[in-house]
Amino acid sequence: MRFQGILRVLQDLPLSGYENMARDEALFLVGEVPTLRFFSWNAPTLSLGRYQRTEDLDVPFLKEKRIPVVRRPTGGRAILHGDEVTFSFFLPIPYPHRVLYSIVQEVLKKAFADVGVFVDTCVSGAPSLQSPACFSLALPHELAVSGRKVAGIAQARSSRGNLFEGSIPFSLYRSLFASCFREKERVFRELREGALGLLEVRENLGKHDLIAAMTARFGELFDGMVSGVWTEEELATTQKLLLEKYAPSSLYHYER
Amino acid sequence: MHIPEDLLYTPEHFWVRKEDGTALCGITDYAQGELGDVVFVELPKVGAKVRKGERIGDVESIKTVSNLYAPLSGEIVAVNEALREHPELLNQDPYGKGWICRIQYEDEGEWSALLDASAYRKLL
Repeated sequence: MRFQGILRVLQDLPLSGYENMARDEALFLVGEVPTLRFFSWNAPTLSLGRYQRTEDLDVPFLKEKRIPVVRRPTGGRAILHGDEVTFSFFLPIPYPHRVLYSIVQEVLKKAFADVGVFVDTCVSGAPSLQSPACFSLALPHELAVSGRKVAGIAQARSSRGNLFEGSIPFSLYRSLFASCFREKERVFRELREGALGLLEVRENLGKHDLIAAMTARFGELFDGMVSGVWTEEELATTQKLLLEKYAPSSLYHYER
Repeated sequence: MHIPEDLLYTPEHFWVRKEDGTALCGITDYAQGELGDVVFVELPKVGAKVRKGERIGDVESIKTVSNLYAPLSGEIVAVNEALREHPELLNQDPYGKGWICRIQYEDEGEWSALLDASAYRKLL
């Protein structure tokens, strides 16, 4: 598989969850070129799927611990972002989402192998569709070590193209993650039995090594790649989204 | 894959049926198959004025949020409330119980740009 064009690679400094998601949505709305973006979080942040219900959340706990809650433009369930490699991948042409899942899955498999982590594809068993946590819900396109999920991925797509978001935890912080929900014991059990942080697979793995491997492997899909910067239009759209949609006080994050 | 001969289609995989001076619409069998199991539908608002090609809602399937686009310009006069509780109807019966919305269309001329079953089949 090979896409036409040059892949732009963006590496952001740590940002708030609100700005991170506003930037991803800006890419989705006005991005013009294929883009691979790596980013991180300036504080542990709970992200929710675009249409995930909030009734499962323990809101008093989240407020007490000052854990920000932000919605992603993509689907799926909640992720507590912290010690992880987070990325987004924007393809400015509409693409069948299942095919794109397969392509990205292969890219990630190769990148993981490059750093000594050998993963399988999740077997489609009976995923826990009721669970509010992403890492309790393994679908066939997702990656696992010994049957335990190691990466959370989701997409949004429009007539302009596909936005792919991915979270690869190095540490899962299961207790804190589970505490974000009302059914803490159940979520903790699902996270313990169904998911792994990469440091549990390979103790000395470095994030920079994985990012370098992913960059090289995504780059193989294109005619070339370049370390790029955000365009003025993307940044202006980010600011607009931050004001109108992703503000910390916005009900958007809790609307369902 | 089922493509009824008596419907019209858009390249964005919506079907449209003229009924009592309105346009009943939904997604095609091809679209539901490509989406996979639908777990959520964000419906348009009744009373909303929409332009042809404008985003009117979303569906979520396999952790993907996919936009839905208006097949014609006009006013949304009804939506399929059953989809809020039973989004799986989109998969089970896309041309029947899985209809999405009814549009009071405003431009008869837009119908001529829709595809017949044969043209839609060639697109796939």
